[in-house]
Amino acid sequence: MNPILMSLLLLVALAIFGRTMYQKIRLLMALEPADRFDNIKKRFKNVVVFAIGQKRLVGRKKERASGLMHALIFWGFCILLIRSVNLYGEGFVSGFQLPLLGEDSILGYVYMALKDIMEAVVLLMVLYALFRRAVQKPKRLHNTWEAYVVLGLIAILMISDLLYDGSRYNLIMLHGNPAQLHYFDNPTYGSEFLWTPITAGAAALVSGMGAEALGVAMVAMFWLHIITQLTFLNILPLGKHFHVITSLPNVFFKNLGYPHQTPKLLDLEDEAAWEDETLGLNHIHQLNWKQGLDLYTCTECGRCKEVCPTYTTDKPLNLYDFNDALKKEMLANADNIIKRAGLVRRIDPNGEANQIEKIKSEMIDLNSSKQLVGDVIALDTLWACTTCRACESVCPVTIEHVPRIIAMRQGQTLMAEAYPKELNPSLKGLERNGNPWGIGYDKRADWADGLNVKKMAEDSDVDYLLWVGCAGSFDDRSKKVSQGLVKILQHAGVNFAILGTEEKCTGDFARRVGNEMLYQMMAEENIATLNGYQVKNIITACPHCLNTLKHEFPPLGGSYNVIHHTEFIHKLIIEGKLHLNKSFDGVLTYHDPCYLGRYHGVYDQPRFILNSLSSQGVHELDRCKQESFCCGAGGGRMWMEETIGKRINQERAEEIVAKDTSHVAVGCPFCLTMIEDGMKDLEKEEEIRTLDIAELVAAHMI
Amino acid sequence: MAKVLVVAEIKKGNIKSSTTELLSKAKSLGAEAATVAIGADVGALAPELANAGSDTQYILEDAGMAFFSAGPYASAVVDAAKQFEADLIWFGFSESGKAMAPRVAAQLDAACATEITDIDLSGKHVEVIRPAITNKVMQRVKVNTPKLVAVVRAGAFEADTGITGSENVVKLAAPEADLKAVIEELVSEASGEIDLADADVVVSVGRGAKDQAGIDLVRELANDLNAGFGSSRAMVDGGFMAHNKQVGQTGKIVAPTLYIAIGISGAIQHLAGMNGSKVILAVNKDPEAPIFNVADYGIVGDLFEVVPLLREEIAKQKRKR
Repeated sequence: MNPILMSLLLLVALAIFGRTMYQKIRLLMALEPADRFDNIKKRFKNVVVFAIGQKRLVGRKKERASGLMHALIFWGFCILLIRSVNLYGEGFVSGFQLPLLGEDSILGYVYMALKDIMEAVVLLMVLYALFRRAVQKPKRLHNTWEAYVVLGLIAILMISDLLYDGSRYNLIMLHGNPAQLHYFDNPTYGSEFLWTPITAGAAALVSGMGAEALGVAMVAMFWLHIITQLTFLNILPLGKHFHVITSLPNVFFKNLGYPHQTPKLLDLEDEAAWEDETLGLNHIHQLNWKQGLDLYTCTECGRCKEVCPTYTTDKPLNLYDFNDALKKEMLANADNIIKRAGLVRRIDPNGEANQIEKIKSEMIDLNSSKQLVGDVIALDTLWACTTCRACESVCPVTIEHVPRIIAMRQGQTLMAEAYPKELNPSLKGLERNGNPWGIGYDKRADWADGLNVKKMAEDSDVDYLLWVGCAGSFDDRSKKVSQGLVKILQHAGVNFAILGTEEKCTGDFARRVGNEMLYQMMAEENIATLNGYQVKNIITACPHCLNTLKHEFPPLGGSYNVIHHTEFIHKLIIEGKLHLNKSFDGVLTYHDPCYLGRYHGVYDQPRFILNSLSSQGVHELDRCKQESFCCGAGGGRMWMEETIGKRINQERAEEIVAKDTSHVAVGCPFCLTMIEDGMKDLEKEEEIRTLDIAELVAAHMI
Repeated sequence: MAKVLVVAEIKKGNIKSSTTELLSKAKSLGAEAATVAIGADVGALAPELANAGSDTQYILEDAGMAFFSAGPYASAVVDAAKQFEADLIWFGFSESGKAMAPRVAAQLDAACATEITDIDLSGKHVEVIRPAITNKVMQRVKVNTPKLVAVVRAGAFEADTGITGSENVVKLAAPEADLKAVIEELVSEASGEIDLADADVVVSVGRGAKDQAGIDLVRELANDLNAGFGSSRAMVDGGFMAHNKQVGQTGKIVAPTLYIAIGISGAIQHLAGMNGSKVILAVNKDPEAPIFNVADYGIVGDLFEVVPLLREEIAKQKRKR
């Protein structure tokens, strides 16, 4: 078309884009390290599933319409990318054809047809998106001008390309091709225009124009398309549409093996760490590069806040704003973060003390003037989170929200000592008696009196250790669950024992509230006990214990096969060691505990068990499985007051009541307490019984 | 004969019972007992202190000592201890006692034992009993220094009204005015209500009370007993009670002599806030309620029936007295 103009445009646009990207990447490289380069195969698979497959966009029933809309625009873009290359080629060489996609090959024609349809589809989707934003106005979206600009640009891209082709079509077909334009015309497959009905339609729209006007229109549309595309490319990194570029790498670098990065095992004996305030996340420059990439990638779609138990009950945690506040703070400090990283490289650990001190004081001057927790993120916001992971499980671009919150809590607890004071009795209880209620540790095994349960101290030659947990040991309500579980294990002839008074809290809640010191203490003591008995297999009825034992003990030297009691009961049934009768009478529903479902992916086993004892099966709640709604007790919230907004457990209890059920099954002692309390608040505890799956199984064994 | 100096605790011009208890114990051990009283207006207390069992009364009466301040108060105690040649210096279990004890011990080069529940002077060395590891064990501690400063746990010793001393007043000079800080004014919270943490009897109301009328009924019971009035979380969440009245894991942790739980089922979160109480009385209509597992006395019944009966009986007993 015009090689000089094309070269000029490309040069300018790519130079600006390159500079922007260089700055963005330089900032990421100045952040803390994160190891996300292992298991490349699995990473590519994630990219295929989450990014290319758009799993969380099209996979969610509730969001299917908008999800499909997005996916079709995305897939359309992927297809049209090839077309773009073709057009850039056309800018240099008239009649440019890509290898394999030329007129000699059927592929060229098929691509032509596909591209033709996708342009119409994308255009329709843009119209739908505009309609959604302007008319339907879904609550989760912020209606920004940026979104309209981007939708407008996409529409221009489609229209300009269709009109470019349409003008070309008319010139060739109606005006005898005065400029001798090249077009696909293969004796076998015919003219390219036979394959492109949409383009034919667009051509019909401008068929009234004269040859000269069409020639001008064709050239104008060509350059409009090219310029729009290059502008689009340069606008992307400036706002939330940066995700167009970053979401593929963000998904690629997603944490593997566990839903998000496990809390960092802090070296509490490192004096420099205390001095430099590097325990926990205290300053914006302490984000790691993946967390920085998460912030670049947040598209502000608001799915996270829509499913968040705290946001939906009017608490100040709004992950959309949370990300935005962090991103703004990170970008505002970008220069200082980069300078700081330069200083860090200059520190020679064997160098002179004076020199190191001097560099360190220069580094302190580069700290943000804002307090990360306090100015950027409000205290109430930070402590509202129940760590339920609902946000992460719906995030289309796999952003990890929870680890940042825990890291900030670590900073608040360890460095600033600014954690909620109402946690003190529970933390003290853990320290002194190994349980958050502070009940005498010597009473830990009282629940098992008369049940003929072996203790490891008496006989450690068993197949399984039953890890009871604090609630199952001390809470009268949960003791019944422990007793039910014992009955099941004995009935099925399982050779097991408990630790009794040697068991202590795993430290789960201490870790979630940032008290890494107490967590490590609890973990190390428990690991010493477990390793002392050479424990290999552990069954537990508490998903929080499960999480800690299974995923957080290994780095401290405690590796065991840990399974939840519902997994184990499921296994017993499958192996024919346990038989249930379907005599349960009533309408049964199931509340998925967050740490069992979203953290461990255990959704089917509990349902299998419930279906084995109830002829009517499980009546699912609207918010179930991956999208289950938290009971409100996770993340240490069990040990804090809930004074802002509606109580989360009440919200959930109302949802259960609305289902007209007679029983709600749970698989977690915290859920049991919270749901039952919610029922009491609604005065429904008599009509709707809250029971652990173990209790139901114990009552229906043959 | 051992010489015991008891540091008098004075609140609003009156000698607190702990001082009498400490003096009774000293005398019962056959020791010579003295007291030291410090304040702006304590001169008139000498006869009362003598009557409680002290043989010598060290009095520091000075306008500058109107408000407690650990530094100068401790200096005065050291002065008295030196004049008296005391072997043992005892403090009551109060914030001021706990603040002075280590200062006095340091100045006298004496051992310091806190929260003792008993003392044995019979052997060559003084021995004290004190709880450790949140009361799970009691330790017997042998004291190797010639002098001992001790803070005595509240209620550890009993007062014996039969014991008296003799009046023998020694005036102490005010310590030098090189105070690092001076207390200008005591700002106390103006509240007519009894503080839950301080109350000897606490009455708490739970979900069983249902509404404001139920709460008012139970509050009357608390008033009858001159008790602190608390609540379980349910009533706070329901908006009936203020959060500072909540007894439990995330509220107030109380350990009164008598705890009366009305209409409280006794979820573990609540028990964690009150199971240190000496005597627990529970009223609940559900005989299976876990509160009965920790209660010393339980009444199974509707609180709307039981509470009026309790109030009636309390009124009767009061009239008898």
